[in-house]
Formats: sequence, structure tokens, C-alpha cells
Amino acid sequence: MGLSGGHDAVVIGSGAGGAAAAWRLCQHGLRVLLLEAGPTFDPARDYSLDSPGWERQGFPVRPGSQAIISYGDLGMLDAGTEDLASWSRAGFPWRLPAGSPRPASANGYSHVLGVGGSTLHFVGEAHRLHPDAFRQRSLTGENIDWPLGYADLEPLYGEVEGVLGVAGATTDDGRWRSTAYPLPPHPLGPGALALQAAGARLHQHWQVNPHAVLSAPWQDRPACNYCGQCSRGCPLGDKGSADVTFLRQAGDTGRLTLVSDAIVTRLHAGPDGRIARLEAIVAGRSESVETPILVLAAGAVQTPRLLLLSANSEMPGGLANASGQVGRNFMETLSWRSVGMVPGLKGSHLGLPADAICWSPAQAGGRASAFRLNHTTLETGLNGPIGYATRLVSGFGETFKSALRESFGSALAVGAIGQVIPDARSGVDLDPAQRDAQGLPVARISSVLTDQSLSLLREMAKAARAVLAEAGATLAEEASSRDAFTATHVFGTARMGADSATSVVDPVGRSHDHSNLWITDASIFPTSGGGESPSLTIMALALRAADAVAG
Amino acid sequence: MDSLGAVLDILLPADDFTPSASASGIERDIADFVAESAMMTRLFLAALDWMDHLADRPFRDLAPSQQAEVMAFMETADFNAVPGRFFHILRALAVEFYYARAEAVVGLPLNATPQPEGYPPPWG
Ligand SMILES: Cc1cc2nc3c(=O)[nH]c(=O)nc-3n(C[C@H](O)[C@H](O)[C@H](O)COP(=O)(O)OP(=O)(O)OC[C@H]3O[C@@H](n4cnc5c(N)ncnc54)[C@H](O)[C@@H]3O)c2cc1C
Ligand code: SF4
Repeated sequence: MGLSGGHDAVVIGSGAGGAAAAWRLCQHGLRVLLLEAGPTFDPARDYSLDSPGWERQGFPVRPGSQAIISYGDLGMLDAGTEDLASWSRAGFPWRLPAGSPRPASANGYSHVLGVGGSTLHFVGEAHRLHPDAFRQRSLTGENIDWPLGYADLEPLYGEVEGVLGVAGATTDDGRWRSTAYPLPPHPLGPGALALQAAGARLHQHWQVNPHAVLSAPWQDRPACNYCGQCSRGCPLGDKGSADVTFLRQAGDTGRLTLVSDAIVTRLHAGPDGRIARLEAIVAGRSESVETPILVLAAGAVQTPRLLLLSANSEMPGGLANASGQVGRNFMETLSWRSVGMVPGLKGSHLGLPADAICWSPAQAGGRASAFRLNHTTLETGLNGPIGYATRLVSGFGETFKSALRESFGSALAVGAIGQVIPDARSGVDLDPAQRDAQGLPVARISSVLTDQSLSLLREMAKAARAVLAEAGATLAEEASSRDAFTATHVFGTARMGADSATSVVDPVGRSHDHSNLWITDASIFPTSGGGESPSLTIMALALRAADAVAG
Repeated sequence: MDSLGAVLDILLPADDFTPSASASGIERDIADFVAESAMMTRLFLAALDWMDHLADRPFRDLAPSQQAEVMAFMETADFNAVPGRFFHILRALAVEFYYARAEAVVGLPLNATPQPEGYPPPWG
């Protein structure tokens, strides 16, 4: 049975941006065909958190749930930044020497392909971008401005928070709100309380981190029971991943047709410049699907790849690429982590992962900061004995076993994520050699840290170390983007702007070149913000685009 | 690989709460894991052979204090030479397989598995 005919709009990708766009289009009365490359995960079956050995498993891998990615230029490890080199007390006593190419981390870019996209393994931090982040050029002379402001997104942020069921406490450092959070805040765990107390003495204001995780039953979903394993997949469905929120509610309208295992391989533009149809491999079969309206939301790596793969003789540089910006301006996740052991601290493995945040570690609150800190003990895997034994507690024999028992629950980890200004060498292109199972070139990521990013990393390290020292911690591990490319948050490869010469989509997400093509994923971010987690903004932008589609 | 069990038991001996590495059965897990890689198998054979020829008898027949002395030397040995590299790789594998077993978690403030109970507050 063909897929053409019964829909008004096609959405590619069911992650943060695709799911939110599909939901809103269904609400507007459009019949939506949603094509998702990956499989459907069944929380009860796939997120095995009720058998021993859970700590050895990451987010589950299912057939078709991982894309092949290759890496180009990731920069070099510089002797001048050895003070930022990664180490751990109980890890291997070895590191890559300065002068070596910077590798991708073990996870590199490993966003899951599946119904719900990367939100399946996200931690659920639910952040609004700081109002200043939209006006970086105007305020600092650096980088560029967004073609819209915080006030344009504010009501949409509120709507998204309502669909996800966000739990939060206060106004977040300049991110004003017209509506209250739908759910009360989660309690802070022992590790977060220790940071809050230490931070207060340093004028670091640590507070509850808003989360798309239910602090009380909400609609048809139960409250969190604080198992602490959000990035392994949430078995209860209280975490607001796109599958249990936007997609479930879009399905309830009766207007959504969701097809998993449907890999879109090419878009075709008609003579009028509109995208006329797409090609997809659906459960192994080739399909051609008409695209009256096309919403592309395959993520900041697969979206540019698909546009580049769709090059033709009239558009040899790929579709939607008259500006030459498709695949450029790639921004990775600039991250730092310091871990210390705090004598006397107990139970730091308890609570919600990333339960506390400090928005403005290096300055007085109110203004946008270039980075933020969070409590990352659970998120970084220090909530089980394997994490302690392989990273924090060295030695062997009975002494080692009792040291592990005595210290368990006293690790305290501070994470930092900062703003990235893209380097001219950073981008996503088609690998000239490597191909996927369909015989198509895979996406190749290049990402080089600028001197500016490296000096910001040093600021991030300083702030993380300071609060740990104040909490009485002795450092036991540090790791950062200096030594390995990491990419939980990625942006910029189809950026939005008012000027069609320097951007791929207009201020509402519509392609400058193809009037029925809209992009609603992280690729349209012109800048990264100061370390805010992006899903809430991706979703708010997707609602805005869907409203514009529906007129 | 005859001395592997003895090496593992020096790394992770039995104590008041938890069994020894060999009693927990991780020797088989590790042997299976190592057998999947020719390079890893070469490292393990070379290291265990070296350990078995340090004295007039194989490592497994040395006194516990002598075994511990050998391991302490290996722990601080050059990671780019066989003894140091083997120590750290074996230790990483051993703790990973060992602490993945329910019986190894006894004595820690943890449930055997994160679900179904979770860890509801209060946490103080
Ligand atoms: C470990 C981890 C933790 C994170 N924690 C947080 C957090 O706490 N808070 C937060 O806000 N963000 C977090 N993020 C980031 C967040 O998950 C992503 O930024 C967000 O999901 C990106 O949304 P997107 O729509 O751009 O892409 P995705 O969510 O990745 O969705 C893209 C979808 O497109 C599909 N697709 C790709 N190619 C094709 C194709 N050719 N045909 C059809 N379908 C295709 C993919 O399978 C996928 O489902 C985290 C990410 C990771 C990896
Ligand atoms: S901590 Fe809560 S949200 Fe996270 S996986 Fe466990 S139950 Fe789900």
C-alpha cells in the first residue's frame, strides 16, 4: 500500500522538533504523515532497569536505531591546554599526548533514531533560552542575532511546558514567564543541597533545575520514582520524551499517521521550486511520497545530510542551499565536568539527575551568562558501583572493596555547558568514502574548538572547581570537550535568518528557496545560547512554524 | 589462563558482605570477553605467562602476600608495557563484571536494580 494521497503534510523525523510540529499541525486540522527512520521503543520491554547488570547497559540498541556517522577535522590537542586535560583517579593512567588529533568521545554523536528521537535518551532539562541569547550581536558585538526575540517564543514555551508536564520553581535568571510551571518542583537530592550550600558562600546561586519529568501524576502519566536513569530510557513514562507527550496526543486527534522504520533518502523539487515528493525506504521497500507541505526535522546532523543528498543538476549544492549555508555553522556541546569526593557526604547518588542548576556562575544574576553549571553526579553515572570502581576508587583487594563501600554516595560532580561560536572549519558534509546500508554517503562531522571556546572552557573549569573546593571536595576526575568531541546538543547547520544570502530558513522556519519546505529541528538555531538545554526551544520554534504553515 | 582465577581473587577477594571474584563466576565472563579479541588474548597470555615465571612456581601457588606484592608492582608499572597495561585492563573488566552481579551490591545503600522501586524521597 502506498503512502501518498491521504495527508496534507509530511513530517520527517519524530524527535523534539518533528513531534511538536506534527502535534500542532494535527491540532490545526491537517492530516499528517510522519516518517521516522528508526524503530518504536517499548519502555516496558526495552529499558531494562529491573535486572542486575543495568549499569553495564546504555540506552538500548535496536535494529535501525543507530546512524553511521564519520568524523572529519575535530582539531588537535594543544600543549597549551594541558591544564584542561581529562583524568580520573581510578581510570587508565594514560592519555593522548598533545599534538594528537582530538578524537570523538565514546558516544561522539550517537543520537538515537527512533520514535521520539533524541528525547528518548535526554535527561529532561527543560530550559528557556535567556532573552539576551537572542540578541548576542547587538549586546556584545559577537556572533549573530536571532531574527526573533524571547517575547515571540514566551507563550509557546508555556504551551510546550504544559504538554510535557514541566516541574520547576522560580523565574530562571531573567527568563521571565507569563504562566506558572504546570507542576511543582522536584526536591533537591543530597548532592544538590551540598552544592547549593557551598555555592551560596561564593555568590553562585544554585536552584532547582526545571525538568520535563513529572513531580506528580499528570494527565495519563505517573510521577517519577527517582530511579536516576533517565538517559537509559524512562520505563515509567513520566519523563516527557516526545513519544509519550506530543506524539501520543497527536495520535489522539486521529489525524496522525506515524510510520516508523521509514528512512527518507531524497527530496525532489518540482519546476515551481516546491518540494514535490520524497523517496523513502519503508521497512525495506522503496516508496515515493507526495509532499504538499514538507516539515523537515531529522536533527542538526541528518537534516543537512538529506538536503545535500538531494542535490540535482539545477541545484548541485543541494536543496535549500542557495545561501551555501547548509551544513555550515555546526556547533557541538562545549562541556566540562569536575568530580570530587566529599568526606561525610552521604546519598549523592539519590535524587533526580541534573536536579540543580546555577545559571550565572561567573557574574551577578540577570544578564545572560556564557555558560551554566549543573549537578551532574547521577547523569554522569556515579550512581552505581561500577562508576565508582572504574573512575573514582583505585586499588584492589579488601582495602579497595571497603573503600568503595565507605565512599559510595560521597561523590559530587559539577557539569558545565557553554556557548559555542562556530569555527569556519566546523560543519556537516557528505563523507566522500563511507556509505550507509542504502549505499548513500554518511554524514561527516567536522568540529574545531576556537581559542574563544577553549578560554571559556577554562572559565567553566574554574567555576566548577571553586564550588567543589568550597564543598570540601578532593578532585577525583575531570573530563571535557578539550579532549574529545561530544554532542548531546548540536545546532546551526540550516540556520534561520531574515537574509536569504546568509541563512537557510526565514524567521518562521520556512526555506528561503522552497515555499512548501519548513525546518523545525535544532539545525535552525543561529547561535547555541549559553548552555541552555535546547529541546524546549526546538519545540516552541516548531509550534511557531506549524502555526505559520496552517496560516 | 590457569592463573586468571587467582589473579582475580587478589583483585576482588571475599569479605564480610560479598563473595570473591571466582565464587561470583566472573572468570568465565572475562575469558569469553577476552576470547573475542586476538589482541586482548595475546595481552592476557603474555601477562599471565610473565606472572607465572616470576618465581619457581606459578602465580597461583605463591603465598597471598607475594601475590599482592606482584599486583602492587603491576598497578604502578608503565601502562605502555605488558604488566601495567594488563593490570589496568583486567581490573576494569573485573570490577565491571563483578559489580554487575546482585550479590556484589550487598552492603551498598542500593537496591539490586533501580526499578521497580526507584528511590523515592526523603533522602536525608
Ligand atoms: C544523552 C542526551 C541527553 C540530553 N539531555 C537533554 C536535556 O536534558 N534537555 C534538553 O533539552 N535536551 C537534551 N538533549 C538534547 C536533545 O535531546 C536534542 O537537542 C533534541 O532532541 C534535538 O531535537 P531534534 O528535533 O533536532 O532532533 P532529534 O530529537 O534527534 O530528532 C530527529 C529525528 O529524525 C529522525 N531521522 C533522522 N534522519 C531521518 C531520515 N532520513 N528519515 C526519517 N527520519 C529521520 C531520527 O531518527 C530522529 O527521531 C540530550 C541529548 C542527549 C543525546
Ligand atoms: S528518574 Fe524518573 S524520569 Fe528518570 S528514568 Fe527514573 S522514573 Fe523516569
